[in-house]
Amino acid sequence: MYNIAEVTGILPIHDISLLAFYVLAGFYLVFTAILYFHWNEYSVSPAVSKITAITYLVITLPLLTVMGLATFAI
Amino acid sequence: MLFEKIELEAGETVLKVARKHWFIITSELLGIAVAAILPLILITILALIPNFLPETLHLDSHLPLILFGISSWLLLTTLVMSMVWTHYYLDLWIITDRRIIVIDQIHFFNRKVSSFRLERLQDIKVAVNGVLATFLNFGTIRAQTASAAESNFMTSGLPEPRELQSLIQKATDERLKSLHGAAAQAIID
Repeated sequence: MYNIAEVTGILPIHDISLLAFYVLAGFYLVFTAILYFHWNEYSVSPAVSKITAITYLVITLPLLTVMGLATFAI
Repeated sequence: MLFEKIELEAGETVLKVARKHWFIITSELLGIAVAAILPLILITILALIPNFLPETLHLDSHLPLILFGISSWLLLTTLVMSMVWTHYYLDLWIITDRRIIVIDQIHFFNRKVSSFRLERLQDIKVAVNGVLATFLNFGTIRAQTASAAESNFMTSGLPEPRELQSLIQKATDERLKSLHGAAAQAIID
């Protein structure tokens, strides 16, 4: 178990990483909604929009999963 | 989709949709990709130099924390990359046989859409500046219209700028011919 008390003297590292995970996950959700809005509204090609959406999700979702698993393993 | 919102006139044909040169987006994405893998390189270097870290600090015992840090960093850089790609893809010139629509996607929620009719086009200038721009054939196009307000439309990094200039010039001539017939032909000649 890590002890962030050495650094901050307040919270254990598990709580800080959990907080960071929630903040990043929230930011990711908002960003994804903004991205979806732009591609849905302004794209000129549905095929490119689809490829972009698939690539985006294929890259980001596993990263988010790893982040979540690592957070709970800390 | 965009074309539904632009509402092309009856009989209006899109001649060309131009985006910035592939080199522009590739160099931007490459810079972010290098930044993305930087922590991985640092961790590898730290792991390869045994005496660099204090004896009490073992990377193996901090694996979840390292994984969390790296995946967060990769996620953030992926978001930046998708933002850059979105700005690149949504930033474009649409040249039709009647007008030019210049869409400038500066940031999310900062988007300028300008449109001017070909018959109002006064001058179109092309500038190819630099070694890479010359070899890869990209440059800046500046269109000036007869309108008093916001009369300049400029985009840098457009591919084949001379061909684009010639296409716009040809479309303008055709437009003037169709509007004014023989009188315009005499002016063009």
